[in-house]
Amino acid sequence: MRTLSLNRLLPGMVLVETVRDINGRRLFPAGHEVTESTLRILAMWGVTEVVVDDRSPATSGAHTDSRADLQAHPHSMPSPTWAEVKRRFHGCDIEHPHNRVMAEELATRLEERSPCILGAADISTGHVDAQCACPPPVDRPTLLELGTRLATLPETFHRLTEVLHDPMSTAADAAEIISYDPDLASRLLRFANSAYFGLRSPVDNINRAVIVIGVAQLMVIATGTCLIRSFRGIPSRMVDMRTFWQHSVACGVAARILAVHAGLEATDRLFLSGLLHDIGRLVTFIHLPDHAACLLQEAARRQVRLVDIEEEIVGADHGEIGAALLTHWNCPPYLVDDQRAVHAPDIPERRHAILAAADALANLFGPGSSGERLMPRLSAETWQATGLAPTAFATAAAQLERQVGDLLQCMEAR
Amino acid sequence: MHGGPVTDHQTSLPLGEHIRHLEDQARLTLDILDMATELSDFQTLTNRKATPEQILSETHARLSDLIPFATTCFMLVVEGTSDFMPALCIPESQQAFIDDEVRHLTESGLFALAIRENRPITIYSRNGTHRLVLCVLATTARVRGMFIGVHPRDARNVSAVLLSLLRLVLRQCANAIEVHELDAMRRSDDRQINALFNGLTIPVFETDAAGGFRHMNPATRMIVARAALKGDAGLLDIVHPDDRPRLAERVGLAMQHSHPVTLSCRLVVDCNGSTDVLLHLTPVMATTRCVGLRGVAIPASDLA
Repeated sequence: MRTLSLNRLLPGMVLVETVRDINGRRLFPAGHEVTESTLRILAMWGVTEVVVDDRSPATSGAHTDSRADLQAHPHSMPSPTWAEVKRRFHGCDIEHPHNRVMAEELATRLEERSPCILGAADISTGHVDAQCACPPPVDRPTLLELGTRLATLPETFHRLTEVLHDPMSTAADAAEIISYDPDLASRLLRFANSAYFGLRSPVDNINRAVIVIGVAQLMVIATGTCLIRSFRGIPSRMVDMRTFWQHSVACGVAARILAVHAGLEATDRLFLSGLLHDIGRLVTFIHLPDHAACLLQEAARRQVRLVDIEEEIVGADHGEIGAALLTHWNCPPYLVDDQRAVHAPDIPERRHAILAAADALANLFGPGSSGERLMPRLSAETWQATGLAPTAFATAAAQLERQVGDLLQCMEAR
Repeated sequence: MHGGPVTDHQTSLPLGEHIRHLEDQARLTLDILDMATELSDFQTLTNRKATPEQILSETHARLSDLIPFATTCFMLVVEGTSDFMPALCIPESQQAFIDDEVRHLTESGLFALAIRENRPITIYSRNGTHRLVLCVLATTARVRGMFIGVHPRDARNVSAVLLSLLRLVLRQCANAIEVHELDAMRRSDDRQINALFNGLTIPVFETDAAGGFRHMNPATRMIVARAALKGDAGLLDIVHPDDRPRLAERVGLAMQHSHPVTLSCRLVVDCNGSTDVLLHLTPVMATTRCVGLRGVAIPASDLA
């Protein structure tokens, strides 16, 4: 018995388990022999993986396919590629099915020299290489106070957040607020006309933009755009803001994609939580550059994750700093909770598990970086709490690459 | 949203015009609600047991009044294969174009996206010359098919209200198709049960609460005397006169206490004869009320 993603399924293989759609409808029974028509039908229904019989001749034959073989036996990968994969997964259980799928996808992309993967790592603007003694950690009240000095958000952000959380709000409310902000309106129109989610459609006013992409989605994109715009002018010798936001947007998109796969309702809120998940780290990068330099150096030297040594070097982890910042900004409680929980993956609440997995996807397959060079460590419980099959992450990785570019263009365009 | 800013449009209008504007808005809302009620009523079709093809034709007619798509295609899920097959394409000459687009949508994952999103989504055609509106035909429980509407690229965008109405009509269309499918399944089950019933070589029958026959299988007619089955014959009429009081008493108790009864008795046969049988009767219940009996008469010769 072997679980295969759809792109590795071949005619002649025999299904071992019944294949069902998202509503539980039986598409193909166990024992069904896969044909070309089966492959087409499974793709139509959006099935991402099936369980096949190992003993059927076609399944055995699949091992002769080099890519399948590579994935079935990762240790047979070319050693530099596999070494890089292992470096990124340092401290993770790479044999766990979810980690394994992610590692295999990463290896495939490294082999194909995907530009997203190869150009993702560095956020620093040069300061990191300087030798410096680590300053003592900052006390917590000072850190949280520094957070509140990060930036002031525009009124539009607060009003949109209010609309997003008002169950009585309508498309017209959102359109009205957005139309008062010409820059935001033009970005959103560009977004409505982009290929994000495949919704290409000529849209020439905000009301229609609301129609095409949905009220909640539009408001969240608008909110994200407000945030990015607010940080644009911040001078820093430490952080490349563009790289930082690329990673943040990738995490938001990944969270949205995984939430759709998981059948969750509040996909747009997850987008926003993903977008903001590392905002606490900006406080360190911008206000405590020496601490940030030390943090990046030590993480590289010790081969650990930034989040593991933030408390030791900075004085608090960035989730806590981010939560204080969002509280100061009067953001809704769910955003504050998500800040605290996304980097604490041992709490297997589903939306937090999805966010943690989205961070991992963005880290491995998305553009940009928030400074983390290693794959976030997710526990088996967290993977399980996502409720998603391992191969769903391979599909999500491909979707992420397609969707994130367009969205970034819309949000970043001047 | 409460307490939202007053728009330029609102501040620039005199009060009278403002009231007229609000009246127009209210009238528009009522018109749309009327339209929604009208468009979503598929009960007539369901009542006259319309086929899926007839339901789709009617849906197309209603949608044409609402949104005049250049091409409309409905695909239905074939229950046996789970495949989406074209069921109606207007005009038919565009079927090849639709097939090509569906192939592309499947490969790009957009077809699956439309199923997952469960709302109308708008995308460009493969060659960029048209816009496609995809909306899954789904009830709350089951995906029944896919709607594809095609507009030339330069046509006006479909408004939010129209897309909402489109979704509403397609949901009702899916419901009507589901009712048809369920009805077809029920009829198929009935046919199978009847075939089984009629194929049995021992007498099987069903009576109403008064003992009058509702159904009997051919084996019953073959054994029981033709004279006993004339007119409004009932259960007691096919039993030998000497056994009737005992049967009536046992049947009365069975119906009163809703439990099955088995007794030996004689059935009347042609030429004033009789044959010994073991009669097994089960009350047919409608909630707590007994509305009839189902019976099997096993010839004593078979028991030996």
